[in-house]
Amino acid sequence: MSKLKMVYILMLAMVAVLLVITFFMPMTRATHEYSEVQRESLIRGDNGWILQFDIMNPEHTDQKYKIDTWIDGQPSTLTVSTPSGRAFTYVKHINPDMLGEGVVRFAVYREGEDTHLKKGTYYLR
Amino acid sequence: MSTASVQQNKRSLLYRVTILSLTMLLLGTFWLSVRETSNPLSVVVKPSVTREGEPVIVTFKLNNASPQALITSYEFYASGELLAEGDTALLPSSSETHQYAYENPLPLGEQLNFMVRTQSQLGNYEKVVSLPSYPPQIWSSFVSFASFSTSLMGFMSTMTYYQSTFGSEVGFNLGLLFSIVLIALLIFLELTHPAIKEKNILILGRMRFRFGTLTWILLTIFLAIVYTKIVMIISG
Repeated sequence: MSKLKMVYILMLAMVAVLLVITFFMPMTRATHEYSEVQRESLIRGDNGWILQFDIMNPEHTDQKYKIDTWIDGQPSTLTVSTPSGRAFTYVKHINPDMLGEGVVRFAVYREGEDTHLKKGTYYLR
Repeated sequence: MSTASVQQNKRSLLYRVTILSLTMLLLGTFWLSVRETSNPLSVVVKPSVTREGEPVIVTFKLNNASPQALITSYEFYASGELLAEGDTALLPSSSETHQYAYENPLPLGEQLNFMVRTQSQLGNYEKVVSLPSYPPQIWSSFVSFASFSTSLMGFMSTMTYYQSTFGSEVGFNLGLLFSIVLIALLIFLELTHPAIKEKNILILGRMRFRFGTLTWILLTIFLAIVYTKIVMIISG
């Protein structure tokens, strides 16, 4: 077998490996089946703060989530239902007039569970 | 097997190796650009050169490359002050993105500092990003030029630049133009092929040679445009 042919076969094998790791593996990778909070963002604008995040529900059943928020200790609760395979985007506009100390806490739970999916605190000054 | 046949086989193999090399190059760069990082913490601040009144976007990503779920605590400091903290459950081979966007109140040259600190079973990590990465005292004409070019390069790697240059938002579509020119060239090459075969027409022969080279160059640029577009769509 000529050297060129060996190089050709070797390169063919390498292209096959690259194809597998680039396209095939990401497609076959096991998907998560647990709820999670994603893309959390805080935007500071002229009219205050905007807190935003997504609650992803990749589970096989529809899920209810409880979002607890405390703005300077003042609690508020929101319960949302998210269909299977969908996401819920939580958006909270925080007016500077609402703020004293500026401590904003939030926690996301799956309804009926004590363990939070996500807990965070912002110090908005 | 005759010598001519061996030569032809060798040439054909050489073409295949060339095509495979190009395919490997494309696939390799594609894989490098879209692969998930194993770094447990990454911080990116855009733009790389901040100006007064322009928005600053700080993105930090908590990664869990391990096969088990992780509880990760984080603290995010902006200009030395604690802005956010929390803890989150990171699923195996997953990541969580946090963004903080605001309008930069500092004049050009003033330094911005961001720090993210994480704590998990895998250990403690800390990442600091300062913009500009040098203190204002050493601001010089060279640094000024460097920051300008960095800013320009940063802009050139954004979707906005790409869309304004190659995208469909502009009146004329560069990809479409390339396609039309390529099709015209290929039609010319195909139509002149029998004419060249039967007669020895010097002008046509020269044109075919030149247009053949041009076709390859245009095809390469066109493939690069398509490839860039795919990567830009996938990555963001």
